[in-house]
Amino acid sequence: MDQSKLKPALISGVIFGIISLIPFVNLLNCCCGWLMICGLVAVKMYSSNNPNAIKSSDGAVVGAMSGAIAAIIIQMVNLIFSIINYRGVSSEELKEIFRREIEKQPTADPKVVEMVMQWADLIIGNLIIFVFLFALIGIVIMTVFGGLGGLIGASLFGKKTPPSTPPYDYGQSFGEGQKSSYPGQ
Amino acid sequence: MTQEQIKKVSRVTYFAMLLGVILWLIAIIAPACFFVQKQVLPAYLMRKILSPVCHQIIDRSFLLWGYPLAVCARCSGIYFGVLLGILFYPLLKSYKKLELLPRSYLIVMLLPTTVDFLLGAFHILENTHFSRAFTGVIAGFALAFYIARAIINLALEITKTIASKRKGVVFYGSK
Repeated sequence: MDQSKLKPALISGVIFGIISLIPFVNLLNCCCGWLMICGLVAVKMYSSNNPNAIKSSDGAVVGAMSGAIAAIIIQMVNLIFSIINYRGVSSEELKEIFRREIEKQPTADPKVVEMVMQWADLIIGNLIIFVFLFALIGIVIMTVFGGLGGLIGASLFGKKTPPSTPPYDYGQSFGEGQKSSYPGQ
Repeated sequence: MTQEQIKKVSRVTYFAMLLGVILWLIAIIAPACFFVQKQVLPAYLMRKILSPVCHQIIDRSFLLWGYPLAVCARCSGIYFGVLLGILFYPLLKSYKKLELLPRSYLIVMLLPTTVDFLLGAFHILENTHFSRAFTGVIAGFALAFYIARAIINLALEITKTIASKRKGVVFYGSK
């Protein structure tokens, strides 16, 4: 893996993953705002360490990587909290929690709730699969938003203006020769 | 790449993007439709899938036939704004140029929703569904121009790379 891309993605991903978990501050995660900023910041960091212009694909990759890292942190922490909260809870209690969750939905029609509860055994029986599936879907969505942030970042910060040609130094040309100050030369 | 190829790739990418945004908006409206049909499980699952994107507080969401959308009023505004922005994008004069609008435009357009959010968050001025959605539309509308340009640039870049690989030619800077 390209280390020059991994480092900014990792730094930005970890920082914004943690920020997204802080109460009140995480409200800006509306529309995955923090994750888009995460991708943007990762590309800005990548751009600062890279003397060349940043391509859109590079921006998308760096942004998506940072978004994925942040998403993994968010989902891992959520998963840990869920495990702590539901540790030792029996399947009957889980069914009751599921019932309350469904009753909270806008259609609290008892008939409909009973219909949904027919699915409860299937869901609770495969709870781990469902939890991981939702976590995975969450990671995919957040990665896409990170990638979008990275794409915008590449467009905003990616262009580098080439250094203007320095005036010819007559003095040095007769000495050891002119040394270029351009990076990579 | 010839100008004709650039135009073709840009057009295909644009319509794919438009389709993507419409599908995203359908996913946002879908739970309310499922609720109307008394299909609570699919509605619940749809809301759960979209939960990483928004807090989904029902009091802060628009209701459709008495049922909430999958995202809050601000998010709904932003996504609707993105759709509007993408629809208006071809009308922009610089559409054919591969240039991006200046950074300052984006900052200015994101300001109203930021101010609205902060005023509400600090209880200085209570925001409403309308203020959240309207400032969201402004932000989404602006974001669309940057997202569209960036995605079209990406598509052009990928097409160029594929074309050069097919020809067996590696352009400078393509790797």
